[in-house]
Amino acid sequence: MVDSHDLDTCLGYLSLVNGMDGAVVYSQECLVVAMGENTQESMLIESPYFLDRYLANLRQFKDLGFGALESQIVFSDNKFYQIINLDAGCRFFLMIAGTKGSYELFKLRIERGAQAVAQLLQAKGYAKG
Amino acid sequence: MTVKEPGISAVRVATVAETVYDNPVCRNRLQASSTLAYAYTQIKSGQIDLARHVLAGLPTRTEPGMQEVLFCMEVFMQTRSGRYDEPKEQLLHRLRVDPNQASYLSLLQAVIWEEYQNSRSEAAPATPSAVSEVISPAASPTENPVDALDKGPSHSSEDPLDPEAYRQLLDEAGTLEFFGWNQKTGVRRKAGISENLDGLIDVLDKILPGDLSTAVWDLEGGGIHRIVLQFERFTLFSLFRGEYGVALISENLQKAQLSLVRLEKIFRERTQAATSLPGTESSHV
Repeated sequence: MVDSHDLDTCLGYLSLVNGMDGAVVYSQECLVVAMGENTQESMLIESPYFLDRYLANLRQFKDLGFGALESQIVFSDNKFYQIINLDAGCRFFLMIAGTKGSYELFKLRIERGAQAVAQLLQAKGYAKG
Repeated sequence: MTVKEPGISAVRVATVAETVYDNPVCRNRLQASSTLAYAYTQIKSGQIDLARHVLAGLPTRTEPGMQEVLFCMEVFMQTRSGRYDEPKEQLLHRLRVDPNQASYLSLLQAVIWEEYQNSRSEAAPATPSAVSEVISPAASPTENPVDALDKGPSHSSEDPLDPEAYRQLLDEAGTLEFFGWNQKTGVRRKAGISENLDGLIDVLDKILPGDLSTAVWDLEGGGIHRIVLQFERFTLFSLFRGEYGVALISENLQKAQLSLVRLEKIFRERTQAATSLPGTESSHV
């Protein structure tokens, strides 16, 4: 994507925080659209598992008439993995991972970061509001 | 907290939170370190994971005197999570080594008192009218498979899926539905006020945690404890332990924070009791 660099910079707000593994924006085809600085390589290995499951849930819940799944957060023994739908058309998703305890600490930061990325995608005409 | 039993004069028993704060060593440290004070308030509000994270990153952990503070905070965290056996054992061990440690004695008294209070509040009988209001169609014979399964033989007083145990949560504003299931036996139970969520509940035990648990194990992320799904109109908060899973559906996650803490506490206690029975095993999903 032409504007990936701007998105990378924006994602740095989330990925350059102690306790966070990183932040990645994926397309609905599970392609990496943008990635925050210092995003751990392990996160790029883990993300497709979660994104695939999220997309399956998204389709299932939509078919059942419950609307789009806006966010999915999974807490394991050590970590949290969150996927946020950035687009009303369900084409772009933000994946964030970090240590389990850091979720509560950075909840607002994650919300603000996701909003900023969504606005940027809308401003560039890629996503719908 | 004041105790007044028939024939016994009123006695004031401090809570674990008060006892930790009354300990001079802890109080000095709490007043000197905003990070430690932040962790203390987080434990008080039930944010144990966050408090652990904050305490793990405390730069003064290795300073002299900090070990006692960290031990007291650990006891506080365990009791706040509803675990009483471990802190009692640890405190008893320390008291055997040094019986003159008055602060540990007070802490042990507070832990025992809180455990007693908790067991009393759980044993309080529920009002039959309120139960029938929230446990929706489960009482009547019906063609709904979820309701039909609700009458299984494992519906014991310590059953982690017993909807009556979660009855108080459904009285909270914004809470729509409770659903519990056992992956091994296939038992499913529900209670709630919303009728248009049946479609969601029918698929929930199949998709949560589903393939994710295998993926997380493979990725060495450990077991899955919680999954939160946010929709436009409601939020689904689910917990997992062993073969058991429970979900609470709420219209507003912010409003439901207290319900979620209670759900976690009840579920943890009930699954602990259920999995400690002979012939059962305890493991995360």
